[in-house]
Amino acid sequence: MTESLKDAMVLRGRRPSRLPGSGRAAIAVLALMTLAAAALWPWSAAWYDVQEIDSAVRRAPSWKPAGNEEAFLARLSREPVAFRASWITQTLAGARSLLGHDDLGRSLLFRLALGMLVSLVIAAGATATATVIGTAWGAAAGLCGGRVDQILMRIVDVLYGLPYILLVILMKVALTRPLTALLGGRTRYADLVILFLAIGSVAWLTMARVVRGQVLSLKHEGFVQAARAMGAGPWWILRKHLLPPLAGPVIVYATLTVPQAVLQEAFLSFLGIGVQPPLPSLGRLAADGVSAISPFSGYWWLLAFPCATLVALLLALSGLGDGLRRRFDPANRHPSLLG
Amino acid sequence: MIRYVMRRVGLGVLTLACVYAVTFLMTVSVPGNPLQSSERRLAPEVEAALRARYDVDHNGRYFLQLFSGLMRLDFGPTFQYPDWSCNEILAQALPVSVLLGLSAMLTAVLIGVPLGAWSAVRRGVAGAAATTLALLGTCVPTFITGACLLLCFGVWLKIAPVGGWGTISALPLPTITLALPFAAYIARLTRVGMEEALRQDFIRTALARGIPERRVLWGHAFPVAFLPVLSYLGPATAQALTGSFVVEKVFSVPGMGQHFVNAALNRDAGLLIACVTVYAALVIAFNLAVDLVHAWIDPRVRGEAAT
Amino acid sequence: MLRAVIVLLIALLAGVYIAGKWISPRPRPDLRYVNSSDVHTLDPARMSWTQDLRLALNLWETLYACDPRTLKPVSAAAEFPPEISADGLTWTFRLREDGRWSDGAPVTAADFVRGWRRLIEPGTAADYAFFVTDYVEGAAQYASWRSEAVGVLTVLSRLAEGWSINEEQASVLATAECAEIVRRAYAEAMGNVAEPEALSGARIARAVLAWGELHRRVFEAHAAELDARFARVGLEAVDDQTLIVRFRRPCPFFADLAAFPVLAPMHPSVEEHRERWRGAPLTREGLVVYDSRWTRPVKTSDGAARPVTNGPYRLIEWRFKRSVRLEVNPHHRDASQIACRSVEAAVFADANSALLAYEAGEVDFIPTVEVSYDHAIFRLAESGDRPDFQPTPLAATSFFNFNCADAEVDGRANPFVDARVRRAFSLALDREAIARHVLQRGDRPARTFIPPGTLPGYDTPEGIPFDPEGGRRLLEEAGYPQGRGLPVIDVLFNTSGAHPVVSQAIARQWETHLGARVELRGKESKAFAEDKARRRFMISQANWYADYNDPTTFLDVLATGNGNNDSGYASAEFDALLAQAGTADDPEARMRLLKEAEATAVVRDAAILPVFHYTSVIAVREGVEGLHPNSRLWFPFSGVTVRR
Repeated sequence: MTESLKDAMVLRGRRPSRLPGSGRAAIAVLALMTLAAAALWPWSAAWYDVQEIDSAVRRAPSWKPAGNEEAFLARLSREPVAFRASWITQTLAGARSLLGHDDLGRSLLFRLALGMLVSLVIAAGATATATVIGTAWGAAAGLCGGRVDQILMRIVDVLYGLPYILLVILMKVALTRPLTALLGGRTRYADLVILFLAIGSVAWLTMARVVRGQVLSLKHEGFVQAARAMGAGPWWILRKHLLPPLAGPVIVYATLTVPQAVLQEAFLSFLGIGVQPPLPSLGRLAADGVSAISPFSGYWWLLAFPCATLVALLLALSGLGDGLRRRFDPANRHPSLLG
Repeated sequence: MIRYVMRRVGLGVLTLACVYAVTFLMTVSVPGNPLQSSERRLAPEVEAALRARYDVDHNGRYFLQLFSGLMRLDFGPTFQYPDWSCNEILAQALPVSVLLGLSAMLTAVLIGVPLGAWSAVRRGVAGAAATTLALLGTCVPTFITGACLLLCFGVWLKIAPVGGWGTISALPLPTITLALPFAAYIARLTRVGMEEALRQDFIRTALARGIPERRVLWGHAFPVAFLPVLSYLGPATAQALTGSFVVEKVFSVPGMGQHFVNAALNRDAGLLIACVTVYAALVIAFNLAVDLVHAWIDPRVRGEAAT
Repeated sequence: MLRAVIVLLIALLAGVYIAGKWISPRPRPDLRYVNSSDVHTLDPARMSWTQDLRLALNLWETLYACDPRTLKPVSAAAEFPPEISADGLTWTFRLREDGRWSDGAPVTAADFVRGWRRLIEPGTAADYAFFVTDYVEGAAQYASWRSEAVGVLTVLSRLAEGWSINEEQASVLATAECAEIVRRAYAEAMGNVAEPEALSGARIARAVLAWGELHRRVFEAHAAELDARFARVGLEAVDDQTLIVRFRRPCPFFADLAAFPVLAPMHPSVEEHRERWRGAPLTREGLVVYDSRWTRPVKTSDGAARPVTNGPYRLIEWRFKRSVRLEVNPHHRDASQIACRSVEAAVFADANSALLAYEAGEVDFIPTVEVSYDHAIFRLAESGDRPDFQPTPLAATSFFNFNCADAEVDGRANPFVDARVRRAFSLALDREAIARHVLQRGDRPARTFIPPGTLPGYDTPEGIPFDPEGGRRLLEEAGYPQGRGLPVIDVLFNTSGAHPVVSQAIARQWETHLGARVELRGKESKAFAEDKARRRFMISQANWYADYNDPTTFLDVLATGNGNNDSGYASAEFDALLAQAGTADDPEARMRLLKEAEATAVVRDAAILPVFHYTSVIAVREGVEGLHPNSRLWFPFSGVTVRR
């Protein structure tokens, strides 16, 4: 037997293989990126839409800032003077050309910082929606079994077949008004909520299937049978015996859903039914970057920075999924359909 | 077993009918005029005439008309392309998508399964590299991989055509682009499955009994590890066969994915329902096939599935 | 297990191999060009997209052709110029004797009448039916008589099948010209029963039969009257070579319209594809409907090819979303002199891929390069590095509609009913900055609706300047000093193409110059069109492309009640000026009136907000001669030579 095979097996490590330190590194990267984006929030929210169309349209990355700073500082007119005059504000305003400018002369740095937050919000919202619905649905189907299971899974099958884009458009039409009213007339936030609800309302289907499969497998395990034989009620079994081993696959699948949601959002933005301009999102920025690059134009920064951020974010999220899996399911007692 | 299959087929038809009805309801309730094809506004009398012509002046009637068409496997006319019927469009687009989808799934399995298994068994640099590659597959959006491949191989190296569909040489780039996310997912599933399988008692027993390592790996562990991949292959193949909008757009492939998206955006009920029906039928068929294989391999599921 | 996997793999491989057999390379045509997305239709009567029209003008020959260099009408199927009566209302077209269909038959005046009659049929749903109904005597009456009948027959046929009808549909029966027949036949069939709505139970069962009977009678009466009614339309094929058209008002630019492919002749064989009901060439609903597939290329058993066309090319192959292939029509008079024997219009869903294919030499020509980095292409063209990229100013305008009609939009007061506010917003727009800095692709800043210099004989009025100070003053006059009191301005735009970028830039300028708060509302095309049609916007983005060489192609849009007047602008003064111009005898006086009309609507009343006039880059491979860039992007291929 080779060393590596032994490693991979229970005989020695009782731990699954993994990327060297991947989980922790991923958490570090993710935390760093999120923190950086969150720390920039006061400025990126104010500045992501400042257009310098006479001086900075498609300007390449540079240490030297473009044009004048008045427009930038004017956007902060409602903030306290101390904030406006502070060293950080001045430095950031001076650093706005660091990642280049887009086709309206807007600073890519601030758009990227805000876009990452927007993407994360959508992805987190979508994942939460998917996890809640999917787990409940799948567990219900798996536990109840029989006719209920049949009906619940048939509904999932039906929803699988529906045209997703139409669903998004429909949700947009149906929800824009009530949500806008609910959010105090802010259409942009309503847009975000609809987006993550729409993405989540499709992502939960796979989650439900995964959970159901898992529950079905677990139901036949000896310890569940034993608990049942000892007269444990369904809630007890669910809480004590099924949910803990379910946590692993659910978390892994949830972390797989996050990047999927980010990509879905990019796709919807690409079709014109995603995040609305001028609000940026990572997917939107990357899609714009792809269409801007060609043998004729050297706007590499429009593609490189959003893509690098996007890929780094998705990589970190996936690594996080791995790490969490080991954290939540250290013994790996049960075979899982998804791992 | 035969009863089970019959039941599943019956349920599949029922599901299909539900998908059909819900899609229809969605198309007629989404705002937007399907009959208007240009930016010019239709005159009211012309619109009335078109509604009469396509039978869309009464939703119930329109549904019955579409449904009776479906019974004859005739999906009727499309609003956006008056010279073509839905059937003709499907007849042109489906073979293209099937070809691309099949080759992509083949590539995905051929790359994903060995990569996943390898990275589970071997650690160190090789495993890490394999995992990273698989992760990159899930983390880079298709529109980026597609555009990069097109630029690299089509424009700079000039070893693949940029000019759309027509020769067999046009196949590899879209295939790889379409296959990458599937491959990454399959690799991930295989790796996790393999890791779990290797920790099972029966593997330990098999090794203890002195069965050769290669046989234990591929004969005992792999079938168990392959189960999740199998579950995934069902819907994934159905999805790949019905085309991908992004890949088709980037590489100008005349497949079904674009109709799926464009029909929804154009509110083209006939074409959309045709696409959805084909897609749903494929999903149901592949899921059934997967479940059957699953039940055949894994006895634990069999009892549950048969009820 | 492993064996099963291997079998599966082999099966997959075999599938790929078999499917791969379907892919076969095609012979390379003389000219291969890019057709953005696929053509929507090849039925000339139903066309409205440029990529469709471009093919049609090579497949069909209209009375006149449009010279691609000057865009002036020249002889084609008929000799130019036509004979025009003294009052300008009767035009006589003399068809050339050597006009031939692709099956060898001569092209006759009756073929033109047939084509034009199809155009105005409601079932055809032609965007350009107004070319005939607006100008030709009696055509509008014929079309509305037909529409009414279709309405009645549709309702009756639905009733006959036992479907319920709503009130709106029921009202059709009462108001229609056929009401008399309906009443009489109804009384005969049903005895003395009350109104249709009062039916119930057993009576409905009887009524279903009666509705069927009633439908039959109305249908037969209508079908019998069809030709007699059409005879009142001012289209007359005097003999095979002479076509007389009588107009209801002077139409000095009709020679230009006659070059538009929707006015193509139709071969008699097209009639074979008409759907029939009860022996009449109409559907149950009274529509004239053709088997939609008549435009699809087919070789029939006797060797004849469909569709039969009379242009320099005929249709050989149409693979959906892939390509359309044309070859020279052997019976065309110039067939032997046409150097470019075969043409393929290849479909590229993605404009970027299309340009890459052009760079790789796989296509010879792109009629309009529409990539998101088109400014880079424009710069290459301007610098002279790439003479094959040719910037071409189009007769087209990108503009925004102000909602001039509704006092309230979505619960908010609409300030744009006040012309001063509209003018203020128009004055506060720096069009130069948008064209020069944002778009950077040679578009001309638009201060008027009609692109200056594109329409011969028309002198553009002084446009709207960039004057933010003046804008603020006007806004103050209207009661909004420094933008205070203005509601949040709602801007609706289509999320395709460059519209989002332009809309964002405009919104920012208004925020800067007027202190307005702007909310952008981007929607995909259909939802956008829906909101626009229901006028759920304060400001909405729009484009207009010239259809013919006359200012009315633009100005008619702003007329009260025009179907495309999305701003809801209604000005008696403007309408009066248009009407005066419509009857003016002197061409110069007419142009002066039109100029005044444009100044009234666009500059004084600011019904719309012109932003820029499009410039498009066309790409023609070196060695391809005879493709002349023009403002309509119309390219006849018969004069093209290709050197490899």
